[in-house]
Formats: sequence, structure tokens, C-alpha cells
Amino acid sequence: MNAAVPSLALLAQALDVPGLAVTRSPRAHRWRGPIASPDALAVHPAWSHRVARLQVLRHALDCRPDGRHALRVDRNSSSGLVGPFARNLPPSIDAGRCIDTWPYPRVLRRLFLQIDGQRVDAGLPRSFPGARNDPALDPAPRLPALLAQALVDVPSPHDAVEALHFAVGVHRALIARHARRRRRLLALLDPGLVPPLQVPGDADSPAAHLHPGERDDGAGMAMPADDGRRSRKASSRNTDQPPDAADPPSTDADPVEEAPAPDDPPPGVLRPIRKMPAPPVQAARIAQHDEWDYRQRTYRRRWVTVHEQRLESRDPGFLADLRARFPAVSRRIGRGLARLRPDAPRRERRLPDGETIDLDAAVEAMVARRTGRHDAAERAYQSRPRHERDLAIALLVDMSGSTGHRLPEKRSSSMPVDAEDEPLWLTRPKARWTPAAPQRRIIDVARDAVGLLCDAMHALGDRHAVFAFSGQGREHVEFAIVKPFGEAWSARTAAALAAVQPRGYTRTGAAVRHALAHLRTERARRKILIVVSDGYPQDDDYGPRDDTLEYALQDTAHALREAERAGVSTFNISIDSGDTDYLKRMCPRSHYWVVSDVESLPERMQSAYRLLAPGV
Amino acid sequence: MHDRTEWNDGPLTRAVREGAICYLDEIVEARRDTTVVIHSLADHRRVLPIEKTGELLEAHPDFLLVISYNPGYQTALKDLKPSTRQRFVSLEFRYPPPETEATIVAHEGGVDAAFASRLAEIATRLRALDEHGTSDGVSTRSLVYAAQLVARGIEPRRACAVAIVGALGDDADMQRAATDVIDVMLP
Repeated sequence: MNAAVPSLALLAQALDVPGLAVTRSPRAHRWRGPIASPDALAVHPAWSHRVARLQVLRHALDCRPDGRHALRVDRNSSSGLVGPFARNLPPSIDAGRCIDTWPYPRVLRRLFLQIDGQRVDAGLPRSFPGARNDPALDPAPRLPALLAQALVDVPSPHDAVEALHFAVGVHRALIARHARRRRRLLALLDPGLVPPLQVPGDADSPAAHLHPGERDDGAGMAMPADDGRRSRKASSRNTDQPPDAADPPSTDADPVEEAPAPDDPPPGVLRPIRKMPAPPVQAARIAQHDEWDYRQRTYRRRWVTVHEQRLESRDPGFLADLRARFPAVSRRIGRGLARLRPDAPRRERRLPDGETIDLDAAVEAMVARRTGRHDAAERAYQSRPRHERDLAIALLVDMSGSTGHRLPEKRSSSMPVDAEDEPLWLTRPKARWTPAAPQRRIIDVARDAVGLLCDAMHALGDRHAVFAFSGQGREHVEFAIVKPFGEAWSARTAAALAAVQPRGYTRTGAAVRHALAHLRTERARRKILIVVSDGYPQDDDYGPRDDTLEYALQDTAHALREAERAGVSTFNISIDSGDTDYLKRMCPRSHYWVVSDVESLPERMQSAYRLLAPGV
Repeated sequence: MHDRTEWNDGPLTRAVREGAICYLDEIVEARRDTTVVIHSLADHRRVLPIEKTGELLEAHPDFLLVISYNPGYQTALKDLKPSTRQRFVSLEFRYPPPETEATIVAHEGGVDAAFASRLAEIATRLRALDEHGTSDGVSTRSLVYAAQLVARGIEPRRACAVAIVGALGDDADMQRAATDVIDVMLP
């Protein structure tokens, strides 16, 4: 069998990995141990030629641009891939070093090998159809139960970077979940727990990493402050159990805040599934953002971790239902747009400067000059006004638990009869849902408003995205992508909007920064960020204990200023059903609307849109 | 009249005299000392001295000389002398790009396009092994042979083994690696 090794090196060379040193080692293992270098590959002496060959094929895929060996992480980036132990590292680090910056590198590495390895195996038949059955000869091993459970909801990544994102996400989720039960986590690390069958040698050097217990004292993880400092939002939660109470550590055991809502659906928003499954936190892409500490007048660097995920739902009826419920608004949007839409782009003529020469003006100017009449200024240019709608708009919707609040009963009796001017929300539902239309929640209204606005933006052809946020603690700001910029507004994307459900807290600053990061990648000339919230940023550890509100407000306002500095116009729409809008005093009035009469929101959204996008 | 030697123009002389294109294939296979004969013909002088008759034959204006050879073919001994080479403008012909090669193989070998591109990709990969110079690499010709075998009902792996791997030389590791490449690349 020894003769196989030079032939494997040759095979690697044929597969674009020249100079690979293939050696035999009893410690060789695809799924455990260190992430080897791209230049060396160990194969187990007991492996058949076919299994050994499989390792070469996998290695060849690992070495491709989307593979683990090509992966480089910028140490200073806010990608969220770099852990707290990143001192004395070069600016660009590989996957192995990146993993070593986390508190439990062995667990993380194991997760990464598992996730990325399965990604590679899934793609292997595409590149090597003749070896499509080979991965079954050396399949991904069964992980210890705790790790396996954490991986259940992880989707298949597209490349190694995404695999690392997912692995880091699971790793963080594990830390967060087991923060109070370190012993469990340590047991999880104990090789003794791993069924010995599948361990032909764990190549992890035990000396290579500190014992986890020695360096996980709070670094990179935040204990939820549980000191009775619950306010309006917290009191509205009905599953407020301390993390320790969740018994078997399953992915569903996260305390997910559900709105204190009865189970009947709100009018018009008919969804068969009322209760959302726990968000698959593990599947999130992670990013880290700074946070402004107004007392120290400095940023806390990479302080907040934002978990970003796509929100999806299989309820395509939302959009049609929405339009049906608001025929007046829909008509008005259509009519308004017809007026707004620049059918024939007008030209501005006789400008001192512009894109092209205004021929008439130029001739006149020449004549004037030749005849000795010198006009004051030669305004010989013309320009197409900036009415080409070069816009990118991000809607950022607060979906924290407080948006589950019921709206006060509407005086439906005072409805005008003229359908055109009717309060928009109650026309159809009233007919349809009498006698007992359940009360609507803030989130329902916000959703409808956002949906109608998206309709308008879609009609105008503006690039837009819809994000929603909630979360708990600085390690877990959830950022849901309802509709990304690149995707068309359709019944499918609208369905994702319908899936937005109230839960968690409002760390608005982080969400604004994350939305800003998305906007930065847009190339439109004008960028707009519309934040729809209740004006009350609040989170578990949003600032020091005695001063959370001020801290949160200052950070949020700071984040909004950052956006303005980055050339993004910001606008706040605050749905203030109680009297708790504290954010408004931090923001310029022209950029802030408090909507106390929540049901007029869709109309005002339209106006806001017109105000912000005056180029129409 | 039969007791004397008569000079007959060969192909080159005839081309020089009459103004034709003379194509000398595999020029490196010629004896090295004979190659220099074309030197005076291939530079600004454009004359062919015929030693036997004492004639200094001036080339017809239409005369054109073309030579071809495989560079680095087998040994350094059989390479073109720089002094010869510099008298020519050169056109380099490498392996055709994979898409072209696939088209050739499909056309010549009578196999479908998908299989032909598989063969072309295999060839590209196997040529990457040729840095050692252990073999001639995989020619388009051997791909066509493999394709023809497959078109006549030979099992693809077997066809590739005899038409491609067999042509790679007798290095055992090389053959094994080539067999693996073919095995994993074929459907």
C-alpha cells in the first residue's frame, strides 16, 4: 500500500494541488483534529486506497477558492469571525488561527470540520462524479449529543467562510446556553464522552489549548443581568424563565418571547401557524458592531454581536390580503405614483454646469460673444435632473416584544363613509370580522404599513430592503432579513414580512449599525434608512445597570448620526401607543414622527416617502 | 551517358527554384549538420548553395519555407538550434483549449458533447502531471482514440485505460494517479 502515496501526490497535482505532501499517519482524520495546512495531507495506514483517494479529492476541494484553506479572515474586521483572543496575530489569519481566538477552540474546530466537511462532501459529486459514492466510506461521524443537537437547524453553507460563520454561531449559542452550567460544557469537551469507535486518534494536541475552564471567565459572553430590573417590555413577556431552568439543552429551549397574545389571529392577517418556532440562531451570519458609551465618550469596540438570518415563511397570501384590506391606500398609491413618476424626464437647461452642452444656449452665447454682447454668465449646459431614482431604502422594523402590545380599541363608529377617506384599517375587516374583531397589535400595524410602503417602492422601481430586529443581550441581537436589496418584492417576500413576530428586546443602536452596513454595500446615490420602532431602545445589558435608558438612547442617537455621516438619510417613525417615546428628544424633529394614532401610519409612511425622496 | 552522375533537384531545391512553399515537418529529426543548409536560405540572403553543382541558387520571390517540430520533445538533443530558430517567425500551437478540444473529440470520436468535455477535462488534468517531463502528455489524438473506442461500445474506463493511461509511459505511480483521475472524473 505504501506505493499509493506518491500516486496520491500525483493525483493531487492533477487536481490543481501541486506539491502536496501525502504522508501516512495513524492520527490522520478528516473530521477531527487540527485544520491541516494546504500543503500536507495525512492518510491513515489502514485506509483503503479508495478512502485515501477520497481524502485527496476532499483536499482538492478544500483548496479551491471557496474552500477552508483559501479562507482568510481580516483580524480587525467586524465580520464576527474573530474571537476575543486575537492579540499578537497578523492582520490576516487563516481558519485554524481564527478558531483559536475563541474560548473553546476544540469545540469550534470540531463544529467547523463537521459543517464544512459536509458541505464539501455534498459538492463532491459535482466535481468528481466518479467518486460520488466515496464519501459514504468515510462519512461525517456522529457528534456528541449536545453538539449534534446544536447543529440540527444549521443549513448547508455555500462556502467555507459561511461554514465558519455558522460554526461560530453555534459555538456562541452553546456558550450562551451553557454559561451557567460550565460543567456540562466541559463534559462536552471531554474526549471520554465521544464514542471511542470513531476516534482513530484525536490529533488535537491537548497542550495546544488552555483548558477551557481557565480562560472562559466571562470573556466574550454576557450573563443576562437578572436583577428584577424589568420594565414595561419585560413585564409583557410571559415565558420569562431564567436560562438555567430550561432542562435538556435543546435548540428549542431558548426562552423566546411570545407576545402576550391570545391565539386568535388578528383581522386579515390570517396565518395558520400562530406560534413561530424558535429562530434558528445557529444558522445566523454573525457580525460585530461597536457601541457608543456616552459616559466614557468612546466606543466599546465590537461590543455587540448581531445574528443575521433570512426570515422566511410559506404564507404567500399576505400580500394579496394586504392589498385587499387597503384598497383605498392601494389606489392612492397607484394614483400618487402616476403623478410622481417621471414619465418624461425633464431637462434642466441653461445651467452654469451640467452633464451635456445645451446647444441652444451655447449657440446663443457664441452669437452674443461674436456680436460683442457679453452676457453675464454663459449658462450653456443642461442636465437631466436627479430624477432618475437612484435610491436605496432600508426599512428597519422593531420587532421586540413590546410591539406585541394591543392597540386601544378604535372608535370605529366615527368612520367616515366615503371609502376614499376612511380610516384605512377598518374598512374591509369591519365587514369581514364583525362582530368581534380582535384587537390589533402594534406589530400588525407596522407590518401592514411596511408592506404598503414596499408596494409603493416596488412600483417606483426603487431598491429597497426590509429588516427587522430584536434580541436579548449584546451577544444576541437578532437581525432578520425580511427582504434583501437584491430581491424583488413579491408575494414570497411579503410572506416573510408576515412572519415577523414580536419577541425580545430593542437594541436599536446595533440594529441601525447593521442596517447601515447593508446600506453601505449599495451603490445608489441616495440612501435612506427608515426606522420603525416605539422609540424606546432597551435591552438586557444596554448600558450600566443604573443608567440603561440614557445609555441606550445615546447609543441609538449616535448610531443614527453615524448613518447620516455615512451619507444615509435617516428617518424615525415611532409608534407610540403608550407614552414612552424617549428617542424623539435625541433626534431632529424634521426626521422624526411620532405616530400616536397608529392607524394613520400607512398614510404617513407615504408622506414620509415623498418627503425623503423628493426627486420624484 | 550512364557512366556519370546526374543531379536531380530535390523537393527543397525545386521549391526554391520555382517559388513554392516548402514545409519541412519534424525538422529536429534531421541530422543536425544538414539543418544548417537552410540558414542562408532563411535569412536576408535567400540563396541556396548547391555544393555538388557549384550553383548558388537564388530563391524565387514566391518561395516560402515552413518548418515544424515539437519543442522539448523527448530530449534536449532533439531541439532546434537557436541559430536556426531565430531565422523564423514562430507560431506556437499548444493543446487546444478544453472547449475546442471537446468539440474535436466529439466530432472525430463520435461521442456526445458531455462525454467529450469530460475527456477534455481529464486530459487537462493529466497534462498538469507532465511537469516532470515523464511522458509526452495526453494528446488530443489519444482522446479521440478513447472516444472512438467508447463509440464502439467499450466501457469508458477501460477505453481510457488503454487509450490514455497506456500512452502515458510506464511509471507505476503515474499510471495509478492517471487511473484515479479518470475514475473520479468520469460519471
